[in-house]
Amino acid sequence: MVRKDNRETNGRLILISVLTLIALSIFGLVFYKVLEGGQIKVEEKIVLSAEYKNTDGAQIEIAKQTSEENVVNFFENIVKEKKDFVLYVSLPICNGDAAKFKEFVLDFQHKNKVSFYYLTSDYIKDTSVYETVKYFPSVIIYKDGKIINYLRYDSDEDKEYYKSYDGFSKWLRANVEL
Amino acid sequence: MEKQKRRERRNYIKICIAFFCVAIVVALAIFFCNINKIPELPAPELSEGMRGELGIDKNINESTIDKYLNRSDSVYRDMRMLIDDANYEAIGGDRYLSGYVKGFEVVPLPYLVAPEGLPEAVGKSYTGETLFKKVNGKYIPNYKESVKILEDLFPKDKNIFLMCGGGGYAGMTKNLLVSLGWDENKIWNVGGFWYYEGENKVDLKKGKTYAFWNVIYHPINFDTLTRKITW
Repeated sequence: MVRKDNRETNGRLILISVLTLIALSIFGLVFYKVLEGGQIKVEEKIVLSAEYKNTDGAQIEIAKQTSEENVVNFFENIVKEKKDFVLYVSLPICNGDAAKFKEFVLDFQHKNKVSFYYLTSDYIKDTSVYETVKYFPSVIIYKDGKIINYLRYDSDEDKEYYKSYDGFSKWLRANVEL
Repeated sequence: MEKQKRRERRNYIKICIAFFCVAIVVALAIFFCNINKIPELPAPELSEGMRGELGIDKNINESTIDKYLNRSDSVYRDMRMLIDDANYEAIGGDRYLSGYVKGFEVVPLPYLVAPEGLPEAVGKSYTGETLFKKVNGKYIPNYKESVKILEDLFPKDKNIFLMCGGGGYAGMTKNLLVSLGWDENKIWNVGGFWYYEGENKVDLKKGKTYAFWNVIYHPINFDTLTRKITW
């Protein structure tokens, strides 16, 4: 009778232990996820290559640097040179606030005396940019010839960076050391 | 005795054959009913980010529209002008309709109501007559026939798929229709032709020529309409 009681007690203890372990695991997992979500994403910053700093603040329109047939090659050569630069791609059609966004990008360059490359959507589908970035307008950060970050036109998280100069400036300064 | 057994067997076989025939008929009926049944559409749902701000749909958009073409319960409208008065070349764009998705018919938004929020650099868009004007957020008909024309072009009993260059004109059209009483759950802003890479692309630009004669276009002849006098 006593043995039976002991067995039952042991069984209960095991069951309670297992349930406690499961509960702790779930709690730990939830806690980890909450902490992870609250963290501010640390962006990899670039320092603009010297030729893009202390400029007159005008954007470098790639289509005006070369002939129409050579625009894509011209841009890909810049990428191959592995410089650290910023590219702005516009989509000049009926997409509302995109025009205001262009003003933010231009203002930023003027105020900070920096220059970004500029491409219109006419050429973008033929460049390597389109393998990564699908929706425009966008501003794309290049480091050593690779895209390390870009503004996502189809992301709720990036909406605030499109809507005001301050928003855009905040995002750019988080990515580029001026 | 044996005769009776044979009869029973025959009857049994007859019943089996009859049952089998009925089963085939039912199966065929179900099969043909399903063939003619048009698949249901996902309810309109906004995309994320700035695309959602334009009203572009999350489920039926440039990437998926091919699956929803050629439906007898739907109309397809491209809201661009053949040649826009706005100077899109000034910002690196194209004022000409360079292509469209097969099945879409052109009904220029600027003839319905003046587009809003265009970049200053492109100057003024079309400034001629429009079916409606927007006053304090409300759409007021300029002509007695305005609403009827809209109902003909965008039948209320059909699903309406809207497209344009980047999603803006299509979004403005949906706003116009919904504010005039159309069911927002039957209108999808499919987005911009620029993003479309499906199998139904019709290119109109051939060298320096634009093959507008291939476009199904709905002109509005304002001279024949009756102007509403507003005091």
